[in-house]
Amino acid sequence: MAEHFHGAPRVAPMAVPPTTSNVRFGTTLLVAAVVMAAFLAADLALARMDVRESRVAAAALYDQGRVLLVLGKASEAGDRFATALSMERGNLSYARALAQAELQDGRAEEAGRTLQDVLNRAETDGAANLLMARVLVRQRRPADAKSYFHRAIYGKWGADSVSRSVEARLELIDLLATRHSESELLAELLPLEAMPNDSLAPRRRLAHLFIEAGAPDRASEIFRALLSDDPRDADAYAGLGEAALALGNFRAARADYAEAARLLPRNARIVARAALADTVYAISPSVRGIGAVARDARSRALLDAVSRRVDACAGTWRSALSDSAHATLARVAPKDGVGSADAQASLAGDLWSARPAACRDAFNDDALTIVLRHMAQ
Amino acid sequence: MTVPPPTTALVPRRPFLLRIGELVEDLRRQEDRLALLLSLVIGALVGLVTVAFMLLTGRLSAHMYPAGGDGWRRILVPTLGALVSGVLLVRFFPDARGSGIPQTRAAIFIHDGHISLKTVIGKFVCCATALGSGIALGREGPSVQIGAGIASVLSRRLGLSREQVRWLVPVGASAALAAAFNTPIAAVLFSLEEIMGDLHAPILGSVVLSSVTSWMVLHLLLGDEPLFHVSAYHLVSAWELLVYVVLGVVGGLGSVAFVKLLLWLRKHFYQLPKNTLWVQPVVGGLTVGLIGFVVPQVLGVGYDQVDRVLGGEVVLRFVVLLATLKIVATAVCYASGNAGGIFGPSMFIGAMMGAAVGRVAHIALPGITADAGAYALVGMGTAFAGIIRTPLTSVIMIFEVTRDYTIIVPLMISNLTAFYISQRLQHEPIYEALARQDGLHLPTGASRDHARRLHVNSAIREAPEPLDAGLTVCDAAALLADSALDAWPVQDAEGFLGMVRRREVAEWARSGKGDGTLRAMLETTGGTITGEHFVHVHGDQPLGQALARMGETHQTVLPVVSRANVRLLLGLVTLPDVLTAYGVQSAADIPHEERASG
Repeated sequence: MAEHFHGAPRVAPMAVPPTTSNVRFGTTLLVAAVVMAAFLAADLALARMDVRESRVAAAALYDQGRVLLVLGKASEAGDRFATALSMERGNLSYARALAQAELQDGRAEEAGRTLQDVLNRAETDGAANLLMARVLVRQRRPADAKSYFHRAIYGKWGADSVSRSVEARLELIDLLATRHSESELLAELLPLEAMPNDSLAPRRRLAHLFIEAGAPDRASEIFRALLSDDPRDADAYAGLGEAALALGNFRAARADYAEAARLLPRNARIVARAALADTVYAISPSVRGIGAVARDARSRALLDAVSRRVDACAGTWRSALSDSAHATLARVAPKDGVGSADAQASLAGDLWSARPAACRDAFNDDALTIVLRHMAQ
Repeated sequence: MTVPPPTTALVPRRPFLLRIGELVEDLRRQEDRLALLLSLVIGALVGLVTVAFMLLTGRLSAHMYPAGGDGWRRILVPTLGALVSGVLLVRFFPDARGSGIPQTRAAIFIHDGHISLKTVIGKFVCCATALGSGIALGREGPSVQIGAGIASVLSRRLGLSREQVRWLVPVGASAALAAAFNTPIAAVLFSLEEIMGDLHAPILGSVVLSSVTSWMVLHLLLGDEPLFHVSAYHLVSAWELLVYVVLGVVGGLGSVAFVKLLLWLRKHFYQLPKNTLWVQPVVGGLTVGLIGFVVPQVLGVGYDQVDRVLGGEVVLRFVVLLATLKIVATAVCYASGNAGGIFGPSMFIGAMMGAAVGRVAHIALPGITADAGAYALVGMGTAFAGIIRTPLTSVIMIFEVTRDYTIIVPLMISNLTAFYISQRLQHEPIYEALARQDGLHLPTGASRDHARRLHVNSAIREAPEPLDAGLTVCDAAALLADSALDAWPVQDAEGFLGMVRRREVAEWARSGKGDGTLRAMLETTGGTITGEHFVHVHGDQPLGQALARMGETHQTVLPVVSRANVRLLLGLVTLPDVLTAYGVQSAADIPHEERASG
């Protein structure tokens, strides 16, 4: 019987016994693989240990640096932060802390470089942008600083992002206030006003800033709200008085400051401002209910006072203006008429508005200036 | 009765081991596949070992110098570390002394690529001990020897030939440098430029592969951070290039000072009694300890301090002091026989010198110069080019360690200036000088340059009037009977046809083939320009190649033909002319008729 096989018959190939050198070759490769595996395990363990110890050491240095920074030892703090950063390169907190120390140590340029590295890695980091803004302020580059302040305000802050963002905005506001940029200041204050804020201090501060930003009416609203919460809030009365002065409502200012002084009679600032409000009320020709004669007398006195001050500091221009002022006085005879009072007041206001730079210091924040400022609006 | 059909045995499966054996045999036969595999294996293994070396050295250093540690450690630890490594080097690992670069080159050019496993282990242990204790040397040079050694051990164990072992040593060296410095490209260049001395070495592919593999291992284990972090510096003004030239001058002079001091000290240490060899490193340890007690930044490699000056933290007097002290500390440590390299210290010295120049420049010319950190960055490469004398490698290395391309043009200018000054004032490069002090005569850059400068054109002579291809062999034999030349050119209407050897022509004439033409003879012997035995050279080829061809073909006269047209015979080159060009034989010794016409 024929046997059937599946498929074609095959013949076993000649077996090639392994040579000694082949065995050694294969064994060597195997040993190399084992050695590699051993080194890999060792390296991984060492690397992990290294990273762990570095992080611990870096954290310790960072903590030391923070203490030193608080103690005002910015240079030493910077050394600690720099070492911590070299141990843990990717740590943005260390980099920011280093920048802060450098800034505090007066090394604004280095701080800027440190921060640039951070910002290259984390463009929207709120804290880094805020620090960069501070660096630029230190370097007297306010226009560039504003840009970084905005990035800080809308950047990422992690925990407490809302309050950190508000703080950044407040810092920008302070910068704008010092530069008397009223429109920009107002633009930054409006978002703050819209935010719910139960704390009294920020609201009070916001109100004062509104006055600086040329929006005393908004300030008044805030102070009134504060008074509705606490009718015996002397600061609110004083603020209301300040807003009223800015609005030109001198009668109300006088009344508000008087109330503030009544509530806090020992507060020298409030007492002084109350006296000022009184003086403003007493010399302003625009208050209601004083009569034409009094208005005329006040206008003449105002014009005279402005003329004298400008006369005292303005040089050649001074004599010309003084002549004009005196001519006006001579032309306008004292009568019980409204027209002469208005002309005198207007001229006083014009004189004040056109005062040269040399005369700016001659007009401090006194009663005369407050009245003139209101008339110039 | 039927004959049963022949049965065929069922084919048993070949045993697994047998199949593996066949695979191995197959692999060993295919050299290109073997080279590929070994490059990968060496790259991976060397990368792992180098990373282990760096981590262990770092950990040792951290334990030796804990944060807030006492000042006495800075004196005692390097001294003890030097003592321990000195004893180990003398008693157990004598071949592990030095930086590792000259030793690697010696292995390639003198010892057929042989570096023992004991040397590898010794280098690892002794350098880790020395560097961990704060000795002011670098880890990159030792890494190179360790990597080269691993390649040598592995290839010898695999039973490779001596030639193959020799070629694999730089593959290991390149892998080590790629991991140690995180600079894969510079590692390749350094292996070729410095270790092999030949940028066109045929091992380029293997070196690249191992370097990349090692670099990948490094990144797998330690991440992607560059060695130094720098701000984005750039050229402030074109006038600044002049300042970088000044930096190149300063860097060059500083490099020369360092090299001369190191060699001078080493020469004097060599003159001490041999039985003090084990304690000599202590001198280096104590020196760096005393310096380090006052200025701790000098201890170890000092990369932290380099990082700081690169960031612009530069106090002029301090960086000048650091540069000076580091030159002294490193020179003493190396000369006294401590295990460690000079790569890292070179970059430290360069960074400090650059920072000093940069600070002065920025004070004097604030409007047109960058911050001192930019100059520190360029200074690193400048000192490297001046000390190590590998200008191409130094440019690429600085770019790779900082990843800052913006400073590349000032870097090239400064490097070149330093290289030129260093070459003029210290003729012999440091590694060649160190090898010579050890009694090793390795191929030098000068000798390689000299060999490369000798071309066939240096020895060419005017060709004599060629014989016509139609001339009979008998007539040709008569004409050539008194010729001094062993071979003579033949031409036809189209130009040069081939060379006939005087001896062959005479044999043909004697053997009754004298009536045949020279053309027929050339065609029969394959000596025409299209024949398989047509040997020739070109004028721009190295003279060594002409000599090799003479040896292979047993001919003492070769035709020099044009590359554009092999039918255009430009001249002849003879063995005596070659010897004259090499200076072996003077022209006066050559018979008049054999002298080259040029």
